[in-house]
Amino acid sequence: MKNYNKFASYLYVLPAFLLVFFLLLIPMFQNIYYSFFQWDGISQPIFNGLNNYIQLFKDSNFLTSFLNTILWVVFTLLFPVFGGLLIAVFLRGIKFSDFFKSIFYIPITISFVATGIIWNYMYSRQIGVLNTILGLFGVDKISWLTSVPLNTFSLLITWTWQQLGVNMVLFLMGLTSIPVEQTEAASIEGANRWQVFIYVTFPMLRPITTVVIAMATANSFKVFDLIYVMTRGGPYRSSETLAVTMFRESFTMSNMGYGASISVVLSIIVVAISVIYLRSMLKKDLLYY
Amino acid sequence: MKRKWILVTAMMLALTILISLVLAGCTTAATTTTAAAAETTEAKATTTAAAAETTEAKATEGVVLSLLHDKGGNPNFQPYFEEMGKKTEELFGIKIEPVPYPTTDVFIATVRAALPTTDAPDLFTWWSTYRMKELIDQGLLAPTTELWDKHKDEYSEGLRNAFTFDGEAYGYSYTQEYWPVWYNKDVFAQYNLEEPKNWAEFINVCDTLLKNGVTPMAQTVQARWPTLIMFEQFVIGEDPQLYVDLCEGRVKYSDPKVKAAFELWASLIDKGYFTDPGIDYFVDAPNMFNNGEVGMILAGTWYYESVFTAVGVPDEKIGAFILPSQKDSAGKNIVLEMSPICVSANSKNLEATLKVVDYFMGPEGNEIFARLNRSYPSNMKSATDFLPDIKVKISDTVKNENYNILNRYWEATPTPICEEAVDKFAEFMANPDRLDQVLVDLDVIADKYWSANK
Repeated sequence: MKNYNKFASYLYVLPAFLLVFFLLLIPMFQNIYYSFFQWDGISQPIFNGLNNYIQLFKDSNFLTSFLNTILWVVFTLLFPVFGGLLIAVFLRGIKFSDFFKSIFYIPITISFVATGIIWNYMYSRQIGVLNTILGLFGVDKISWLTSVPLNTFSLLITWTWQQLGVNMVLFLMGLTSIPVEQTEAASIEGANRWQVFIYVTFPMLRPITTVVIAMATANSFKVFDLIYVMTRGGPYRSSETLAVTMFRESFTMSNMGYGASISVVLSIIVVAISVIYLRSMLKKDLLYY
Repeated sequence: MKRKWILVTAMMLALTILISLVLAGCTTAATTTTAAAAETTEAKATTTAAAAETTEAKATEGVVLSLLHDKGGNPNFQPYFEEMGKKTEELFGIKIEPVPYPTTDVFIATVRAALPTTDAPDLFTWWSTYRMKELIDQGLLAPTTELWDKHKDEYSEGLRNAFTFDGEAYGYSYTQEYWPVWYNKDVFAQYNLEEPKNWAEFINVCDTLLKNGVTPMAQTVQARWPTLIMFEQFVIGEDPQLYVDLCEGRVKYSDPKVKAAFELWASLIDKGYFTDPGIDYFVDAPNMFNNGEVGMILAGTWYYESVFTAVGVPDEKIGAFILPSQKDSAGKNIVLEMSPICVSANSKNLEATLKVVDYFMGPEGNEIFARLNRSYPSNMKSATDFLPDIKVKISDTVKNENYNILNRYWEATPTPICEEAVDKFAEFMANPDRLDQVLVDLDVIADKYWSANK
């Protein structure tokens, strides 16, 4: 009976495993394989050893893209994550909080492509609402998406606008799971609101904070659609991140092998950061609890 | 409990990473059909045989041909291609199913991945010369030489040359467009300006507009490719042969004459002859043109229908002239953009495909799309009575004044060079003081290609 149950468990997992195996794992290993080849996608691949990886470190576009990616990660942690936490804390218990939650959550229901198009119009040099408003105060027209490095910050503002809501919801979930007794006990002991937040609420948010930071970091590493729609990584490749550079090299330049090597490097970075981060959080949790 | 949270987080992360890898990985899966590529030499031989065997109409009846195109962003093209399909269904019982792609990058990636496989589209829009050559080199296109021979008297030799490689012709041209300067007639009238006949007159037009608060010309770095517009114009204006040699790797970008063209461009940017390069060429520029903020826009003749009409610029406001060369010795030149439709070597319906291509190459067939889109048919014997007066004027000028016709940079130079060069042009437009470094970078890009491909 026990063996039968074990067998049945594997059968339940099998469909999902097959999907992951054929649609994710095989392409993933193929991708790693092709990263050692010079290949335009239609001719015979030529074995290139580690040259694609060596070339990465000589490529100034890759360096720009790498630095932009780091900027995206840092900015994401500072604004969409920290901002989401602040909004969640401030919205808790205020009047009309449901209304404000909905307002902050609406952007995440819009697709990245639609968001990109909407913000493209808002940032438009000629007809954009931002320049129109600034114009009322005598400010000259600004090229939000084509001035370097302003274009990257313009993209990051759009990203924050969209991501704030989802982080807020996750933090709200975490806040509602905190037992009221503990915060009340701290208040009775004489802690003010700030002290309650720092010494009671925030530490108890650690599990959800771990999830939010890990997801936000991974998402910011692989951000592609928003940049592609709004600037295509330009002008002159100034706003590319690693995901955009990977796409561009693979599909625009037809350097499939080189593009594959970028995706491998990107994945190694994300995995390394995630493992280090999760391990340290795990250790802290063991110490804490 | 906490460990569970971390476990869930780790699983979500792993899934996210895998998804990011798939973007690059999935394309590799589609291209393992190397056998299909090897079979293309066979396909070449069968193509000509198939073309000859099209007498049996019944054999092709009921066939549905796929036509992949990258014009999904233009709402007109899909119904126009559907109209072409209706005509072939009516004549031969062969349907055409157009499949639009909204972005060029995705379209190119899809076509390139599909061509070596048995799922290759029967027909697909593409670009001429070097953009076509890379597919021909891999044996992915079926030759249409017999059809070009059949319609020999209906096409110019120059056009056929842009479709011919090593003696074989490929695809056909469903339309073609010139690249003139569009100007706002009202603005010109307001400042008593006339169409410039030479460079000095053009500079006078620009100075007058500038003096009156109108930006003379539009330019942009958005969408990447439009950065080549002024580059090719100024190099051609220096010396058309220099342009051809540069595109084909016989001249370096650091050549003094090429540098002179860039320096001229830089000086005009410096004088304020151009808009900020942050504007959008297809939304902002036509609106600025309509409002009288910009006097002139250099663009293909498709701009008239696809952009001006779409944005609502009234016909009576639109004038056009051909930009004079800055050097008299360069003569009269104009850029031509051809629009090929190619036939896949791995098409499952080669016989039916060549039958419809034969029809579309003829005077009647070539006219269908051109009439709907009010563009120039490539077949010289097709009717042109549907063309707006302004387009008739441009083509008449080209013919009557013996203009030298040059291929657009996008097609005239190898794709790997062009794709990187357009970003370098953008860098120059935003920072003209970086010219020397841009020229060095362009030489590196071109040398890398030509050293491996000459």
